[in-house]
Amino acid sequence: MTRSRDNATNVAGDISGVTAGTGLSGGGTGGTVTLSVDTALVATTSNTMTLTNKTISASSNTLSGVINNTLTTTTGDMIYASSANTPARLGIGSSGQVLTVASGIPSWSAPAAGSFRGCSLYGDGDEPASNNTQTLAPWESERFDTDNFHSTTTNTSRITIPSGLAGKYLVQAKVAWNTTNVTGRRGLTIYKNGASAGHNVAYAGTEYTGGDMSVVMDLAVSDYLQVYCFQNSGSNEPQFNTAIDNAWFSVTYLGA
Amino acid sequence: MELWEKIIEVYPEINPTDSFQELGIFLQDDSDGQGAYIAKWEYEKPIPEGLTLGKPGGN
Repeated sequence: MTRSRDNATNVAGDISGVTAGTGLSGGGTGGTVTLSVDTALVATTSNTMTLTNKTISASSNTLSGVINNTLTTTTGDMIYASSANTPARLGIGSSGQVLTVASGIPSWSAPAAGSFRGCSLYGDGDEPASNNTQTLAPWESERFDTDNFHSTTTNTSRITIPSGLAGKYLVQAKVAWNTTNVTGRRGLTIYKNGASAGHNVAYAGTEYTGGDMSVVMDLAVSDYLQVYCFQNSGSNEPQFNTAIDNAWFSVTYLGA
Repeated sequence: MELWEKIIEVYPEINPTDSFQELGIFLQDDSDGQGAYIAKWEYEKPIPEGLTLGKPGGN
């Protein structure tokens, strides 16, 4: 037996209506019924949607929380953790600033100025200098000495390179001559480890003349420098002067 | 008498104002109270009698 669809009454198993549940729209109780995905509630591969407070789970990983792109408001901004699991914005710094760490978080700051390392020496005053003799200059006093390059009690003539400071040095030396004698020449020579380092300066003997020299030297730890002074006036009269306002012997560490 | 004067006394052809170094005579004084000594001798004539090469005591 067959039933007429026009006059049929519902029997068990018949569908009397389709209701659109959450995430769907459409439905109905008769005729052709259409159900559509409600893109206001369901993300599809093509629609644009904002997720709020969602946990995205994969088979083995969970991405909980995301970094809001509004955190970076300016070109050059950086994101860091202000505490565990807490992203924060580090605004772009100013030109020339460098990234540093203060109180446990990154920040921008002006680069620190390099610290000077070296020493500058002077002596007691007049020192005898025999004719035609290279005479060692003693340097009894220090203007400054950052790393024990020099001792005022032992081997005062020396500047010695301390541990950890091998490298290039600007070496400078100058003495004055306390004489009106104008005969011959005056000069000074840098010695390294007891022998001439090949760096010297010579100049004509004029009244109260003084000459200085500067040279960059590559020095190893424990190398020591000295200054030898010279005159050939034909007598022992000229003395060289190492007083604080007339002379210096200094090194400036330039780098490894 | 200074060391340079002793040398000139033996070799009077050397003038006090000549550059001893250019003649090959290198005198040095380490300002340690021991005075000058002959650090190197390359002069055409030998070291004068009574003088020696090097620092007294060998330091």
